[in-house]
Amino acid sequence: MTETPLPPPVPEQAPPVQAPTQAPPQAPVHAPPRLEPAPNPPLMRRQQGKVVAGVCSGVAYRLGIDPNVVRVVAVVLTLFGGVGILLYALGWLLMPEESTGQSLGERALRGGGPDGASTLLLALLLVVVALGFGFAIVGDSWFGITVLAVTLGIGALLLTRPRAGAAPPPLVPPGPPSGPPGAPVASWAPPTTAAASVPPFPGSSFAPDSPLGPDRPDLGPIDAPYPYGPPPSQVLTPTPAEPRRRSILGPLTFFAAVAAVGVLGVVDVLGATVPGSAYVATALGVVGLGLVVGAWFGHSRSLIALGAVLALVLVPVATVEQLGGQAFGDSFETQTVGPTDVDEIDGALFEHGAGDVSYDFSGIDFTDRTVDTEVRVGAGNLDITIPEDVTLEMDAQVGAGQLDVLGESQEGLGLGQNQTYEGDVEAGTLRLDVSMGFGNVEVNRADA
Amino acid sequence: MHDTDVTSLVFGLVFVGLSVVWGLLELGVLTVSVLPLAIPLVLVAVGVVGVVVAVVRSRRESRDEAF
Repeated sequence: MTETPLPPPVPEQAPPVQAPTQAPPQAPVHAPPRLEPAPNPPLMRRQQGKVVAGVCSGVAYRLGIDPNVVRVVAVVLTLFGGVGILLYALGWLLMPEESTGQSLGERALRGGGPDGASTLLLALLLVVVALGFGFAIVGDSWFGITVLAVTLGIGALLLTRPRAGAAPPPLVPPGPPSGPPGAPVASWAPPTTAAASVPPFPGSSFAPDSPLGPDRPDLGPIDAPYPYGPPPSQVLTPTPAEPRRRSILGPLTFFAAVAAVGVLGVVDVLGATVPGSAYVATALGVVGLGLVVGAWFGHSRSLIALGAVLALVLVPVATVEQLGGQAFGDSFETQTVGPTDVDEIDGALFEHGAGDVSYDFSGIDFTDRTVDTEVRVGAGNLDITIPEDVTLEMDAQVGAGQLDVLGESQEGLGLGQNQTYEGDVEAGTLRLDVSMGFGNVEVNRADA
Repeated sequence: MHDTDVTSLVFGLVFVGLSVVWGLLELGVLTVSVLPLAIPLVLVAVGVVGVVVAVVRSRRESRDEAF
C-alpha cells in the first residue's frame, strides 16, 4: 500500500485518505482493511480551467475524466427539464471552493465572513434549487425522487469529506502480532477508557499478563470465534491518542433520513398514496431532529444546509399540492372540454397542471339530478360555463389570483367561496368543487 | 453533553416545526386557511426557545467566569 502519486489540488488540503506509509514490513495479512483503499482527489470547485464556477471541472477532476464530458452531460441534462442547471446550482452551493476549502453554504452558515455578493449569490442559488426541486417533485414523483436522491448523495459526499484545513485523523496500523503465526491477529483497542476492562484477544500484544493471556489455550485457526468483539476484518482501528473524534451525529442523522425516505418509497411502491411532499417533509423532520439532538450531543451543524434546501423545497411543493391538486401536468395545456353526458361529470375529478382550461357544461341536462364535479388546476386560467337554470352549489378555493363566480368577483391570496346560487328547482343541481393554485377562476351561466 | 449549541437547536426546531405543520396539513388537522398563522407561530416558538437558551447560557457563562 503506497501513496498514489496524485498531484494534490490544494497544498493545504490533504487527500481524504492517507495510506499508512509507516506500516512495518511484517504487517499482518489480516490487518483491518482500509475503508477507502485508493486516495481520491476531493470534490471541489476548481479554479483551473473553469468556465463558470468550476463545478464541472471539479466533478471531472474528482472522477478523473475530461471536463468537457461533464459539461456536455450537464447541458444535455439541462435540456431535460433543467436538471442540469439545478445540479449545477447545487454544486455551486455545496462543493467547497478550491482556495478556501469551504462551500458557499458552509461559509454562510459558519460565519466565515461571506461578503455581500456571495451572500446574495447564495440566496439566489437556494431559490433556484428550491424552485427546481419544487417543479421536479410536483411534476413527476419519480423524477423528483431521483433528484432528491442525487441531493442526498451530494450530502453524503460532503459529510464523508474531511474537514477543510484539518488533516484526516492518522490511521495507526496495528502493531505486529506477537502471537503464533496463523493465530487470529487483532489489536482492537477500544477508544475509551473502558479499554482496561476489556480482555484482549488471544495473541494480542495488548495485555500479555491478562488472565486470558498466553496460558489460555489457543483458539486455533483463523475462523475461530472472537469472543471479545467483532472479527478484525470488520474492525476499525481507532487511534488511542486521537484528539477529538468527529461526531457521528451528522452522518447518523443523514443516513436515518435516507432510510426514512426509502421506507416511504417502499410504501409508495406498495400502493399507498404518498404525496411528493411527504418525502421532503420526512427528510426535513429527521434532519431537524438531528439538529436538535446536536444542540446538546455531538455536532450536526453541517445538516443545516441540507435542511435549508429541504425546507425551501417543502413549502412550494406542499402549497401547490394543497391548493392545486396533486399534479402539475406534463406540459402547459390549453384546452376546452365540452362534455354532453351528465354521467361523464357526475363524481368526476378533472385535474390539470398548468394552462388555460375551459369547461362548458351548458350542453348537459341536469334535470332532477344532483351532480358532484371537482376541477383542480395547478396554475393558469379556468373558465366554467354552466346551464343558465341549474342550481349551483359552489365551493371554490384559489391560492393566489382571482375568483369570479356568477359575477361576484374577488382577488388576492387565499380566496374561497362557498355559496349556493339558486336556479330552477327542476333543472337540477351542480355541486362544483374548484381548486386553483395560482391563477384565475371564472364561473358563468350560459347565455339563454 | 456539551454546551447548548443555539444555532443547531434553532435550525433543528425550525425544520421539525415545518415538517410538523406539513403533517398536520396532510392529516387535515390544519387547513390551508390557518397556514398564514401556523408558520409565524412556529417562528415565534423557535425564536422564544432560542432567546431563552441564549440568555440561560450567557448567564451561566458569566457566572462561571465570576467563580
